[in-house]
Amino acid sequence: MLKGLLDIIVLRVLEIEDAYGYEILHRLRGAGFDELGDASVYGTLRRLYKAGYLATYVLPSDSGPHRKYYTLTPEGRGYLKGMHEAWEDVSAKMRKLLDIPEKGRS
Amino acid sequence: MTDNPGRADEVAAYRQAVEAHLSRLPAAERAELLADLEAHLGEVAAELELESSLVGRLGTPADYAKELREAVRVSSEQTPAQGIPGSGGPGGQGAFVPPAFPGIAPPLVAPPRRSLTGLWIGLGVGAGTLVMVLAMGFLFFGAPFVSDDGTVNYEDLPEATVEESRSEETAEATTSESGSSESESPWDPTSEAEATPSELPPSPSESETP
Repeated sequence: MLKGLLDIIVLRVLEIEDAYGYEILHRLRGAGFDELGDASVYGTLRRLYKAGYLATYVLPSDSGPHRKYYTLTPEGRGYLKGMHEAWEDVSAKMRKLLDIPEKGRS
Repeated sequence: MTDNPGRADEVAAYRQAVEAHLSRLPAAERAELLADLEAHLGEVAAELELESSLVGRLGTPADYAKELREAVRVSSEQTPAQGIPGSGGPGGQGAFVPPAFPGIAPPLVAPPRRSLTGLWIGLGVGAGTLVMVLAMGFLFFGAPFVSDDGTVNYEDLPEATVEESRSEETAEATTSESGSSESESPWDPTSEAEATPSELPPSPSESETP
C-alpha cells in the first residue's frame, strides 16, 4: 500500500531536511515505515530526480565516501503541495467512510 | 574502520548482480537506475557493522532489483494496469496501490472540469433560447408570408408592416414582382424569415434537451 505513496513520503522527508539516500531510509524507519526497503527509496529518489523534483549536491562524510544529498526543487515543492492537498482530501473522505457503522451490525 | 577497502569489492559485486536482474528494462531506464547505485551502495556499506554484509542489510540482489523496478514503475506510469502486476509480489496489500494514485489525481483535475460543464450548459441554454426565439418569431410573423417554395407572399403581409419598412412607392413596385431576388434586399424581415426555415427543424429537439 505504501508503494503508491512513495513520492509524497520521500518528498516530505526531504522537505523537512535535506538528506542522503540511506539517511532517508533511517528517518523513515524512525517514523514507523518499517516495510519500506532501501531499493524503494533509492528508486524513488532517482525517479523524482529525473522528473526535476529533486536536485543533488555532494558533501564529504567523516566515516566514508562522499555523500550525495537530495534537496527539493521549486517544482518538487509544488508537486508535494499538490499531493499533500490531494492526500488531505482523500484522507478526510476515507476517515468518513470508515467511520460509518455497518448496517447489519447491532 | 567502516570504510575498509574490502567493501568496495562487495559493493561492486552487489551492483553487478542487481544490474543482471534489470536486464529486461529498457537500456536508458537501466542506465539511469544504475548511474548512482554504486555510490549509494557505498553509502550503505559505510554504515555497516564490520560483521554484517550488504546482503544481510539489503537482501539479495534479486530482491533488491525487483523492489527497484517496482519503485520506478509504480508512480512513473500511473496507470492501474501497470501497478497491479508490479505490486502483486508483496501480496494482497499491493492491490490497494493503484487506487491510491487515481484517487490523488482527480481532485487536481476536477475543478476545471466542473467549470467547463457549467460553460457548456450555459452555452446550450443560450443557444436553445436563441433558436426558440427565432422559431417563435418565424412562426408568428414569418411563416404566414412564406410559401412552400420559400418565396414571400407580399399580399399576405399586414399593411402596417409594409408601411413601416418601406416607402409606399417601392411597396407597389415590388409586390408585382414577388419572389424575385431583388425584393430581398430592401426588406430586412424577409431575409430573416427566409433564413429561419433551415434552423427550424432542430429547434424542437434542442429546446427540449436543456
